Amino acid sequence: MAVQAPSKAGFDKWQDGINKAVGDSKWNAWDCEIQMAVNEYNRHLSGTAGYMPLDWQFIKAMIWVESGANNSQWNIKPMQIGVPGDPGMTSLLSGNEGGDLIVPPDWKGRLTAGSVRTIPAHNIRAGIGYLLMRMANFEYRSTLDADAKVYEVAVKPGDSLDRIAKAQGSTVDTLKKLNPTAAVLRPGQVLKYQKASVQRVITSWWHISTSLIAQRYNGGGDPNYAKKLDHALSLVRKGKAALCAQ
Amino acid sequence: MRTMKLIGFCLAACFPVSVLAASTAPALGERALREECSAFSQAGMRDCLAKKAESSREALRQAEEKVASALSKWAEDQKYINQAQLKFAASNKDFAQYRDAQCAFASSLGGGAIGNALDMRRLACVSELNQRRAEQLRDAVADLPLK
Repeated sequence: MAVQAPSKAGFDKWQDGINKAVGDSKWNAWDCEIQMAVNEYNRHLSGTAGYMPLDWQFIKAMIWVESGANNSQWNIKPMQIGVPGDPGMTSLLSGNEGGDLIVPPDWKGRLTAGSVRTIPAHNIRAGIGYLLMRMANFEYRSTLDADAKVYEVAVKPGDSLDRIAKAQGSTVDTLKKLNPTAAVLRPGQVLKYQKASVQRVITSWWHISTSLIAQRYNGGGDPNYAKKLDHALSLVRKGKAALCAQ
Repeated sequence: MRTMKLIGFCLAACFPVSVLAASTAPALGERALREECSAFSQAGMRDCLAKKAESSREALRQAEEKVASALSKWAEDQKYINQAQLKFAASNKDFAQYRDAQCAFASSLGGGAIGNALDMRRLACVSELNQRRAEQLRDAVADLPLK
């Protein structure tokens, strides 16, 4: 006889535990820290490619699902980013996957592998940062430098647009834009250029939802993650939040 | 319901103890394991799956010991015993290699998720494969005639 897996048992047990959290103030312990951190991110990212301010209650629901006040991790890594072998924290802090555009300037350098793993306030910020990094769509685009001056350069034998761009601190896109007729290069020909570089930019945002968080933050390890997050979010919205001095 | 209970009672009481001892619960699939451990928050779930993986390693170790012991007592010419022992060692080695590769693949299906999710998938996969292998090994030598 095939034994059917207890498909609902796990979730039901979790639900029983979390329902007791409502009204227990220790589950609100990180409310003010979360609100502060979410405000910092919202201020920093407002205006980028149609960014919609993040609702801090999503993050509160996430830490209820990720660690919860009854787990010792609640006071170490409430968002669970930076657990042993976690590539997520490294990719956020390395900056070269878009983390440098997401993390507010005040926190760059302050968030480190050591601090994220041991200080809850830093863990919360890294978790939010990673979540937002996963909610953003990035693209490499040619971006003009602050110096808007137009320079000129003479084409040397063997030159290509790529070579000129590299040598002059510009980009192929900029050269093409300023010299629309320079399809074929001739030695001695004079090209215009501006200082520019190819940079990663945020082009759009995913619309945040519990199922998207489950997919992009948790990666389906827990088959009930989205369902748990929905439940936690409804409890968080119903319950009282801590009063914070803003 | 009453009939079910009676059948259950009979299953437990009517079969000889030796049959019950030999039949271990069938190995759960990795998804069922994750469902079961979903009773906890993510931090607790990882611990739950780590324990499952640990006990699967123990189950596999015991099954391997059982096979080794059965082979040494096999009522067969030494030549064939030696051959089976060599094949068994090779199969253990290849299984471990397959398991690690397969579970690395399972873990990679977490994509860009944070560490817990990746590890949960890996641990659930390790548990399932170890338990299935243990089951296979137990079955393989169950009918071996012994000296």
